[in-house]
Amino acid sequence: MKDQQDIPVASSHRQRPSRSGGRAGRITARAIDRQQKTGYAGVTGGTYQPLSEQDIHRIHATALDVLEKIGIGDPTPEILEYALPKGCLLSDDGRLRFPRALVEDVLARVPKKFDCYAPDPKHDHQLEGSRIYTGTSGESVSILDYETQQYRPSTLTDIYDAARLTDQLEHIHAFYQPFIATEYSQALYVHDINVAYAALSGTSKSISISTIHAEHVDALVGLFDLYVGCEGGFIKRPFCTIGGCPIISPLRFGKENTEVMVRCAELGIKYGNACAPQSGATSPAALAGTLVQCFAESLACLVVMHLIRSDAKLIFGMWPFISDLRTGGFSGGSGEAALVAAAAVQMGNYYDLVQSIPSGMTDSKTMDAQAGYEKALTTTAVALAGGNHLCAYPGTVGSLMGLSFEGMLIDNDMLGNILRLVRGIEVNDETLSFDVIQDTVFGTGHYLNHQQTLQLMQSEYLYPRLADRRASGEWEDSGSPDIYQAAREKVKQLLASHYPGYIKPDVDARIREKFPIKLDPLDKKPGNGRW
Amino acid sequence: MTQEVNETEEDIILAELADDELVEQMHDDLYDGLADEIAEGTQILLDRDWGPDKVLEKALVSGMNIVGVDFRDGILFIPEVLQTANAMKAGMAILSPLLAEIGAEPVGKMVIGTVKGDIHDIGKNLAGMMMEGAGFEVIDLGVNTLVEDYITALNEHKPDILGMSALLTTTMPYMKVVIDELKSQGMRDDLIVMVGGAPLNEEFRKAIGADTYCRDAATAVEVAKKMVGERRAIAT
Ligand code: B12
Repeated sequence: MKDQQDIPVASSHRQRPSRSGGRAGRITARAIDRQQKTGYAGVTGGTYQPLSEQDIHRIHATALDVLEKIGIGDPTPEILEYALPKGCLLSDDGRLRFPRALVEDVLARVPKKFDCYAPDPKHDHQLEGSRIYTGTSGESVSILDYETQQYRPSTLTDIYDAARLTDQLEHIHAFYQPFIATEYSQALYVHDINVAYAALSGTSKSISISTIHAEHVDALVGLFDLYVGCEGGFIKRPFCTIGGCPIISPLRFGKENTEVMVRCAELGIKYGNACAPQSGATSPAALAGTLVQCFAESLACLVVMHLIRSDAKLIFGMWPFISDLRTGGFSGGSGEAALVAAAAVQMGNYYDLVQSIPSGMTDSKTMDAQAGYEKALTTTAVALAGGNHLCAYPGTVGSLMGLSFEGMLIDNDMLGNILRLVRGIEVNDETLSFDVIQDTVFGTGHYLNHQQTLQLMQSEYLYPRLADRRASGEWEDSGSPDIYQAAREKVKQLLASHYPGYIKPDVDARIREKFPIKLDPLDKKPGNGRW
Repeated sequence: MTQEVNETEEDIILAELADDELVEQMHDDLYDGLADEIAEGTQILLDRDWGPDKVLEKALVSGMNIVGVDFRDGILFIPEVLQTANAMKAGMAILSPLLAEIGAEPVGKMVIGTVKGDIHDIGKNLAGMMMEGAGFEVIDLGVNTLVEDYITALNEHKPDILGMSALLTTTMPYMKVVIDELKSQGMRDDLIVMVGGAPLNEEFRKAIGADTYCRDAATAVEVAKKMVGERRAIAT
């Protein structure tokens, strides 16, 4: 038998509880955004590295060969104007060739980190290294309608509602235009202005808009200046990124998108290029070859931006896509998609570039098991690889054709869990827990009310909003709902209540005076009949 | 290197085969996407005094039918189907001028292009190549095609079918611009207007007044054959 004296005295871990504000304090502590201690914005990835260092060098060298010897076709006059005096060459076949030394030089010099501002500074973040942020991404043309559960063309109010949801979803850190407002498909100026207006009305997180008209970039800046209340105000804290596809694979410039990219470089606005070759269709079937071409295409964008302005900010967007070679169709969710995207991230990280990467692009038409595994697989891979801006397509289904609000909520949980996974395990004297184990073994025999448990329960563990962890009997008693039904209830609750007044009435009046704003003020208030 | 089986297959001397054996071998060679062999076989049959219309029908078109079926059933993958289309083209290159000489009706002709403002061309290319595989002559206008370019090509080539592709909600309506222009130039009734692209649907087809919307390239081939046949039946 052990002598009383041999039982270790309670260590410093077994402190008495201290005052923490009673019920009110606890409610605050439990608030959702506190969970961000567990899976948070800016967590660092980079552990998953599908390529060896030698692989990276070979892909790099071959991409430079491609740029030097094959070049990029269809350069626009603006590009030639900037690039030829700086050392690019226009060959007889009309293709723009990039000398290796020039590319290497630019790679060494481009900004390796920059701020990603949000309308509300509390959502600002810094893009650098392999720190991860997530966002919605576009540009679907339909929505799985909440009421009918059928696909219908997406509209401006859907964009506003998606922004309001994003605003409330803690694991989606930025709002990148998820849909087209299809009713304005034939009035692109009205379209682009209103997408921006709807985004700013619904969220105070960082936003991104896609336009294919360079002059709309200037108009958007005008709108943003009114929003912040002074001319030149936006560019001091550019909370909006412009995005698009300036490259048509294989290796050609697309005129309109290139003009937009050039305009953003000139104005000093962050631009996100999505170079999206489809393996086997518009890039080699060999995944390594797809990486070579995709890297070369993105480097071409990087060089062009840098030659226009040395502090130009490009979010380097290698978006290698996969073709289903049975049919030639586009496929978004697979092991190959996850692998090649993670490898693209690794390339970007190796050169310390701020980058975006797509994930979560399921081919399933609904938020079913296929969607679940495809989204989790691709997103986990790119998150572990450490892609800075994960264009994680929360809620997007149907090979990028549609979006489901219920899906956005389900994916919010998934993203939180993935961020948690990426964060990893903190191993230190405290967490190794010798004393805690000793305390417990010689004390209560369980850890449930140990001070360490109390301390860590909201930072070591993530509590999903929707995942059902109840016992099966309880689940049956409540009508056997699946996660989709749980998401439906929550969507309604979130969208019926959150009508943020981010655009103040006087500002709104000024904006409406100058721009053709179509979002009905009544749609921005409760009782609009939608929710 | 080449496996035993292939070596023996490569040993086959087409010119030594009897007509029916040759036709059967050509069906296999089409399936395997062997352009040179198809050109050779086509020439052999012509040299044996087969009419070009008979070669087309018996050796090529009927060989390609099974390709369509097996593609639909997932036995053949798209790169393989495109190889077969390529082989078909090699045969057609020899047959087309001869068919014209005897005044035989060719399978059909199609002008295809992605509409103005749109650069998506993978689906359009697939549709075009599959049509070629079925023996159609295809004139591809590329991407970002303006209404006047369509009209010029239609006047020049006098096709049976106009195919338009669009992948963007912003460019889809341009199809109607083209169709309206066809109407105002009195050309609409001479053409089968076929449209495709991921965001399109049957409702949209009706709204713009196209004749058919095809969800994918394989359907396009089936529908094209059927519609060209029907029009010809009415015309005669
Ligand atoms: C690949 C791709 C690209 C590539 C195109 C490369 C190329 N050479 O074509 C790149 C990266 C360049 C690109 C650019 C853009 N894209 Co894109 N792209 C796609 C993607 C992912 C796949 C398209 C594809 O090739 N599919 C494979 C082929 C085989 O399928 P398909 O085209 O549908 O064709 C089949 C059938 O439809 C049919 N068919 C097609 N055409 C025809 C014609 C006829 C006559 C017939 C009978 C049949 C037929 O048969 C085909 C074979 O079965 C789609 C998403 C999707 N799921 O479709 C987005 C998508 C179409 N793109 C989209 C967008 C927004 C753009 C950009 C505007 C992005 C930007 N902001 O810059 C630019 C377009 C710029 C411009 N001016 O056109 C949106 C559409 C939004 C909208 N407004 O409608 C989509 C839906 C993606 C998304 N959610 O954002 N894109």
